[in-house]
Order: sequence, then C-alpha cells, then structure tokens
Amino acid sequence: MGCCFSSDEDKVETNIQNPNERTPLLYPQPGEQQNQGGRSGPIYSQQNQTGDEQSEFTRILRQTAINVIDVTSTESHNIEQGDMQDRATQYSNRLNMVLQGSGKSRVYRPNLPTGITSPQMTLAAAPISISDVQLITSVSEKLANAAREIKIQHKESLVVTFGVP
Amino acid sequence: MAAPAHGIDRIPDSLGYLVLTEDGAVISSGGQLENDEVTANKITKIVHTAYKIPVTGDSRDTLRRISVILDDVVFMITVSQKKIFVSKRHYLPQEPVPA
Repeated sequence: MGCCFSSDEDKVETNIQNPNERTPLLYPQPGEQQNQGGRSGPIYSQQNQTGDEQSEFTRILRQTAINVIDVTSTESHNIEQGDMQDRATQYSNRLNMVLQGSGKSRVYRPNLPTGITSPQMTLAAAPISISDVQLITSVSEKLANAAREIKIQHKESLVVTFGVP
Repeated sequence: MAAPAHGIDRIPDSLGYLVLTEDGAVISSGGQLENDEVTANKITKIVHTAYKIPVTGDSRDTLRRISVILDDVVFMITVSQKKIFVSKRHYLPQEPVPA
C-alpha cells in the first residue's frame, strides 16, 4: 500500500476504481496483501481488516453506481436544440479530421464545384451543332488510331551494368 | 416538386428531367426520366469523370454543360449549387449537315 511502483499494488488499485467483469468481489485476504506489500503488513490488526473490507465494499458500490449509465434518467434529460447542433458539428468535424488523415475522404465525399448559376438557361440553350459533333468524333477517332499505332522498338538493353569493366 | 427543379421542368421540347445530389440521389424528376435511378447513376459517374478532365490550362475553368447525344435525343447535363441537372431533349440541330 502506498507504493506507487509496485505492479501488484497497482493492479488492485485499478480494479477497485474501474470495476469490470473481472473485478473480484472478494479481495485477497489481508494476509496475502501483507506478503505483497511487505513493509505495511504488521500495521494491520484483525479489527482493522474487517473495517477495511466494509469500506472497500462501500467504495466498490459507489464506483459501480457512478459508472453505470442510468437509461431512465438519460431519456428524461432533454438536450437543447443549439446544444444538439453544436455536438453534431463537433462530431462531424472530428469524423472529417479522421477521414482526411486516412486519405479516404475523397471516396466518401464526392466534391463537385459550385458550377453555374442558372441551370435552366444552360439546359434550354440551343444544342451543340452537328458540325461540332462531327469534329469531335473525327478528332477522337484520329487520336485513337494514332495511339493504337504507337509501337515501342527495343534498341538497347534494359539492364545497364555500372562500374563493371 | 416545382421548387427543387429550378425551372428545368419547363424547358420547351423537353422529354424528361432529373435533379440529383452530387452523390447521385434523385431530388426531383419528371417526364421520361421520372425516378430513373439507373440513368441517374450513369450520369453521376459521367459528371464526376468529366470534372477530372481539365478544360483549359487554368484549373478554375470548368465545364458548363455536357451533351450526351444518342440518335435523336440529347441528355444535357450541368452542375449548379452542387446539384446535377439533367434535361432529356429531342436532338434538333439548327445547322444543316455540311456536305
């Protein structure tokens, strides 16, 4: 007890403060603690041990009561509208930070620019002329043919040796 | 449904229209394209691909309108306020076919 650097002592301390499914309901007998703690052992008397057990149980009960989420009280607890929006923005900001860090933000958020101001004017405008369509078609056909005719001629060795006489 | 269509439902010689979110969800639709999610998905892919192609050397210059011509109909596509607007129209070019 009181020794911050002892790992055994730390274990006991954490279990009490954060009770979980592995928390023993009965703690090791003070006799064992004496063996672990060593120095502080002889101070305990038999009466103190029972008192300590009682106070330990009370502490566990109090900690559990703090840690348990009371569903009924949460439901009746109303969050203000502004508070709710603040939290929503906070959560989405955090989420975006994580997504940006992982490089996946582009996948989840396709980003279109603002674009033009009057869609109905653009869409109602006269359609593209046939000569323009023919120009685009012929140019892209020529480009496709040119790309198909590109041939790579092997001239030199791909592996070059350096410093070898 | 007239409000989110931004007037593209009143385009003359229109066969149908679509208003989509930037991820392709249908906000408003009408005519031959009413609830046409298959076309909506294809158009969304076209738009996102088209925006990756630089139009000029200046990256601020982006496309104004995409025309997809299929036989005698044309799908006119544009983007405004981060929404995709599509109008399906008869393809009636004004110029005569050059010889």
